[in-house]
Amino acid sequence: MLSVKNLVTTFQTRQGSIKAVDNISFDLPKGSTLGIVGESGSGKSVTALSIMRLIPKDTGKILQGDIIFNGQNITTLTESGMRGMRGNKISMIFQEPMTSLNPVFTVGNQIQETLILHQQLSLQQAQKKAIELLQMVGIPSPEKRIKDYPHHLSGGMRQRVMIAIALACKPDILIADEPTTALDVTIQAQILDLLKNLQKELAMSIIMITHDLGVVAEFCDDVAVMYCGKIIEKAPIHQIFAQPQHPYTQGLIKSIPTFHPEKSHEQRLSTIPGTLPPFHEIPSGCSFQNRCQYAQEACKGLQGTPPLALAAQAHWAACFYPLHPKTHQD
Amino acid sequence: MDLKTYILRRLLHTIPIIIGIATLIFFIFNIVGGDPALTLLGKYAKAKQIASLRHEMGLDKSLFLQYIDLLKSIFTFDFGKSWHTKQNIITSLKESGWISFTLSFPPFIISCALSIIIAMVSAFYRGQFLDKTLVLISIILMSISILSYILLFQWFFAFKLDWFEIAGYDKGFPNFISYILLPGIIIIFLSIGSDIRLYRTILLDEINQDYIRTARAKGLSEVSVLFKHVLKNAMIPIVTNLITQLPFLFLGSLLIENFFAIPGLGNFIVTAINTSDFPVIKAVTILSAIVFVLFNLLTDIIYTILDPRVKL
Ligand SMILES: Nc1ncnc2c1ncn2[C@@H]1O[C@H](COP(=O)(O)OP(=O)(O)OP(=O)(O)O)[C@@H](O)[C@H]1O
Ligand SMILES: [Mg+2]
Repeated sequence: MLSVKNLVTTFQTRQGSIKAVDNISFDLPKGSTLGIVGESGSGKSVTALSIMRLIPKDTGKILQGDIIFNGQNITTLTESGMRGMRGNKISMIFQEPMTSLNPVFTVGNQIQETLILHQQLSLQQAQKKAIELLQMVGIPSPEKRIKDYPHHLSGGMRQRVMIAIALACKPDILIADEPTTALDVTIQAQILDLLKNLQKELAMSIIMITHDLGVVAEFCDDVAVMYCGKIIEKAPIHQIFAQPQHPYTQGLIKSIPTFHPEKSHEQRLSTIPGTLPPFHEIPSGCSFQNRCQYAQEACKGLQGTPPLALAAQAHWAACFYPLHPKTHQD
Repeated sequence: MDLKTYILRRLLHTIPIIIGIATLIFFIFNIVGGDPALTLLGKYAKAKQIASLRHEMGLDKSLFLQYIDLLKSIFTFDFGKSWHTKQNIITSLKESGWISFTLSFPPFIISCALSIIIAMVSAFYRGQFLDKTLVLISIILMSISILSYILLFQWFFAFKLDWFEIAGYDKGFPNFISYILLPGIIIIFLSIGSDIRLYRTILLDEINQDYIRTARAKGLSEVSVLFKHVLKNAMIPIVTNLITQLPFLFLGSLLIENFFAIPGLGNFIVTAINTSDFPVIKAVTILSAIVFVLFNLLTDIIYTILDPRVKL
């Protein structure tokens, strides 16, 4: 359905050119969900925007790679061809529900716009459909709400409206970029439930971007872990949690807060020391070496960057010393 | 609350503001300032002359009565006669204000339309060659002084090419047009540079908003994004800025009116100041304060109409 191959996206910054997305590849089969996790700044949103071809033209560009969607390479699609995809075949919802809706247009207007654009509906038809969509995303009394402006709605409600807009044309792929990060916990659960149900109903694939492994555990089939613009581990979900290969992934899993009142605070919560290095200070060799407790000489660059290699069945990791190596033979 | 009650309430609110302004002006003119009769007649005036002038001006009345007179003049809209021209002040203000308005309103509209269009083109091609060129041109237009425009344009277009009148004015209908064309063009040149820069900044600010990214993610073309989603948001600060400029259309540009000998309000006020024409100065001070208060109110009203987030 969607296959990303060797994607590189660069930005011009004051410190020079940076690879915000550095040679990543993944597949998204029909109806499945891929989780992309990683710390802030690891390149998750840039990956999503690259697939949408919405990288700001003045500073950034897709330097190389292919994005194959239903057999078509969308990196070479014309701008107008791409417009026919956006909001129609591939939709995206954003991290910031409070600011992602236009404040001067009604909710109804903003949903209808997509329908009129892609499905050539008349205004009346679009209005009717907008009410149905609001109903679908669980907004009460939708026939009243379509006349509301975004500022009348709470963050959770606005994110539901964003979902309604994204799903208006029944897309094949939904990219959800941290759809619940800005919302409080109970609302988060509601939105995730809603997305899960709608996924079944519409048989769509989802790319779920998050920094919350809890969300991944609940929601995804596969997961890709990003670090400094690279995918450093990629595996089916049960495998990642059972046998993480990359020390970074292990650190992420350990830092999920758990509820064990009998343990002390230190035992309950561990963190990965240090922070993500800025792009122009990424060390040669493994980009995680400075924060890695297992780092050895080989990680420091003499053998180059560790490639993303099979560490176990269907389990890829970019580490010279994977934690649970297993070959096909055994 | 609906818009009508809101406007009515705001109008009622302006009454105490206007009375406050009048009080302040009364304080400045009648208490802080010296005796205008003395100022007018000079050091060697005889006591009798002074007394009769003071009587003529109503200065021999008690301060309280003078204050009441001032308030009365606001509500009856009658500010008496000018000392200098002996004409009814309101009639003269209307006449010269209208001349200033016919001089500056057409350039205002043209420059407004042009600068919004050019700013949109600039924003559309942001960061590219055309945008950079337009920014450079507007900075150049902004940096040239008003005097250079006046002297250069008068010399070149009026004197050398003889396309326009160099200066002067004729109140008759089609005739006056030939006198206001050249100053009108200069007014456009004076305002368009900074307007383009301001509107471009406002538009670019909108273009970087999250909801514009949403609009693009829907599959809208860059043109519909710009004309629908960006423009409607940008109109809020743009219109606000335009309305605050409106009162100045009546006040006129002092320098332009002076250089082109156009008997507009700007000229009228300067003459009044030069001749110590106190009733005129007082009337202009009060009226312009009132006009500013009213246009402030208008800005707020338009704002509530344009921006659905503003609660009445
Ligand atoms: N328009 C841009 N211009 C320059 N650099 C950019 C731009 N957008 C993103 N970047 C850089 O790309 C890197 C990756 O950013 P990205 O937004 O993908 O992070 P993220 O993983 O989504 O983080 P978060 O969890 O905070 O959303 C960052 O270091 C950022 O500085
Ligand atoms: Mg992000």
